[in-house]
Amino acid sequence: LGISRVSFLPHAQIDRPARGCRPNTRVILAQPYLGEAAKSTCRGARAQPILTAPFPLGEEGTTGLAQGHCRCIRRGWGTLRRHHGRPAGGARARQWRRSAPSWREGVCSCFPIPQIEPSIARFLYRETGADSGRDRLALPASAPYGTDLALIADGPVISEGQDVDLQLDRVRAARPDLTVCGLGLANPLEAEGLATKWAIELVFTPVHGYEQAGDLAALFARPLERRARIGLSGALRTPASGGIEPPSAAPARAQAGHRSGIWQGAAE
Amino acid sequence: MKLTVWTYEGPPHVGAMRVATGMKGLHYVLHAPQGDTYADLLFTMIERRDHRPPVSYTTFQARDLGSDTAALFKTACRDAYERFRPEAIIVGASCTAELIQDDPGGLAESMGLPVPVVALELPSYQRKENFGASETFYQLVRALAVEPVARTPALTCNILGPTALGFRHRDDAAEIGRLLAGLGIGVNVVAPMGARPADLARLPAAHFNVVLYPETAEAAARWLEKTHRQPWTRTVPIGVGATRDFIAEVAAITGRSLEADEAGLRMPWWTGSVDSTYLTGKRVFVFGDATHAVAMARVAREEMGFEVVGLGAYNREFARPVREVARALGLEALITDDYLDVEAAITAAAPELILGTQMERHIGKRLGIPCAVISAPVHVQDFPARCAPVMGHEGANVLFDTLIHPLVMGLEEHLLTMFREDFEFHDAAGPSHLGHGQPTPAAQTAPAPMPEPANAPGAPAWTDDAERELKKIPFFVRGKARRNTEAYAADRGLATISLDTLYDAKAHYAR
Repeated sequence: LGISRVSFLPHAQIDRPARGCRPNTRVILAQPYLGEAAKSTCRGARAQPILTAPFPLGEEGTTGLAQGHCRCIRRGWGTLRRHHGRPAGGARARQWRRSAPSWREGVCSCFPIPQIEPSIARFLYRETGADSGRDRLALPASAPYGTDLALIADGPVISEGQDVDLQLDRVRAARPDLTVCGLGLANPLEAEGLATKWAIELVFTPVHGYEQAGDLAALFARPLERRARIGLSGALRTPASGGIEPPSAAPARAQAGHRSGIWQGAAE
Repeated sequence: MKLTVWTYEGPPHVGAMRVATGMKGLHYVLHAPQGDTYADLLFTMIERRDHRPPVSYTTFQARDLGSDTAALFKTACRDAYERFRPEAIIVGASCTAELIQDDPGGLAESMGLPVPVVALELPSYQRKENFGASETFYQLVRALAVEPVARTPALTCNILGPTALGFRHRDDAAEIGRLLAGLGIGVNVVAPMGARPADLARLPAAHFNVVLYPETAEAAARWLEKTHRQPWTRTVPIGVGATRDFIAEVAAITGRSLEADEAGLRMPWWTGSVDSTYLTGKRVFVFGDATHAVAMARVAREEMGFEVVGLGAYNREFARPVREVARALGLEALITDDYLDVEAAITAAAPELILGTQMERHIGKRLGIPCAVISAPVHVQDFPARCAPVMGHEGANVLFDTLIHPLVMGLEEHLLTMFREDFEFHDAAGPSHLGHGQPTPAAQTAPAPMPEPANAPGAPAWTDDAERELKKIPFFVRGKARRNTEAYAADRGLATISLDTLYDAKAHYAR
């Protein structure tokens, strides 16, 4: 973008003053939820930075963030596009969407994950073809959400409030393909036959930007893939006989499909 | 026959010893040179047996070869009978004694001993341990279970196959006995393990036979089917799916509707619970005896959610089912008894986990790949004090624990990825529950786990930061990432591989 001097704020040591915040310094927010932080950190900057963009999850989110940055520094989006070239991670995300095995109902529920549920909902809804319900803890009315919420205005049910039992009722009623939730709820929901994704993995795994879009998609695919893998086919049944005689000698082979898999009985 | 440092199976007379040692009231007179008595150790040391195996060796020496070794055998035979007063005797020769052709069977028969004498013809130079066990059990059953016996009034079966020195045979037999009892089916005789010669005569009283280890019991079961019209089970109940199939097969054989109480079966939930998500798609290499390898491939794939990237067995006689299952997995079965071939195949497949025998444990150690032991031959630590079957419901529970134990747990895996440059959670830290000094992939130095050859002349050079970044990639895909990046750089005529090249290549191959 032709910017030669870049500092990342705040400094790694929190008590050190931010370097280089002079009256003519421009500040760009690394992500759209930093409004309050910017107010306290960037005192002395020429203007309070405002970033209207989605969180950089997936292809659309990353492009949206880059466009937001372009607006902040008044550069054309085309320049940035030329710089980035074709977003490969985005392509992988789209590829995954086409081959997602068990995204049958396209319904996904999301329990509170501080501040990023709208972004996850946007990614799942607009980039992977899932519908998404959302429940977030009560947040200050001024909390900045970037533009993720606006992008899903036409889509998923958004339920606000912090009543876990009510949200569980909604999840049980919807029977979503996948529920994004914390570890406290994951196993109990799995025991009810509902696939889950640990929200904490979204914190531990690099999921931002084009490069990680495919990895992000794969995070949501993994619990579904596991269910598809386990106990399905019976194709690996022990062949009826050892090496001594052909399998046809077996008098009482269990019929293939007698039990479709180890899940039978386990979920009850 | 070839010389080797290590072998999966011993000679066939070791198989005969496994049957004799498993049984009670049976004695084995073995025409064998000095030195062959080492075989006692397998049982007393590795299996922690508190009695010497019931084997008398003739222990002839080189100087005896010119004189009457046949007389030596007869003396040993008579002494053994006088001292041990067995209810039956098996006689045979070990590899070296086979060459002097003394005919132990004929000699023993001519002695007029007052107990049944079963002669074993075990071709030491063509066959191996499992054949020896199978043939010995078959000959014993043929000799001792001749007379028809009325079926027991209640529904019973025999459990056939467990021997001394088998992988978890003691606990498998007990677990399957419990499972059958829960289905209202009694156990008539368990054999060879724990049976006396007189018990073998009672085998025909059972309504059907359960074959736990085809390697040792299929030949006997076929003879019993032919002679006493006893059907036998083909399904080896290792894992949840196979145990359910086994019960269905027993139901079909007995004509009863059988429903097992699965209250104690925890494995499906353990593998379904969220920490197990990280098991999904882990690449595993399976090698062992055919029965265990085939069963474990199914457990690994359908119950653990692993991806099986290699499957093989060392006992050629049972190669067919291994080939069938390998084909279903899109693999070519590795059928070999040469551990160097197995090591090469594991190196090439670069799995994240090996399920194998004692030898694959060593191979895994050398390559820095975690290993769980699932098949004989095993070492002393795989004869546990606790009850640890691999069959039936508790066996499935045990397998889940066994298979995840060498691995890093789910959340910990994330920590290791996220804090890979941290002093505690670095890439080479390995599973925390295995303590310090556990060999881990990245910590391995000699020999290098996956050889990462130095650059060929003219190949692009790596910058330091790109090389550092490469090290952050999990070891099992690192070799591939290196090759791909170098190919990508070479295609574009780049002289050096920078951090950007690495990521460009990643993006290129991701498309």
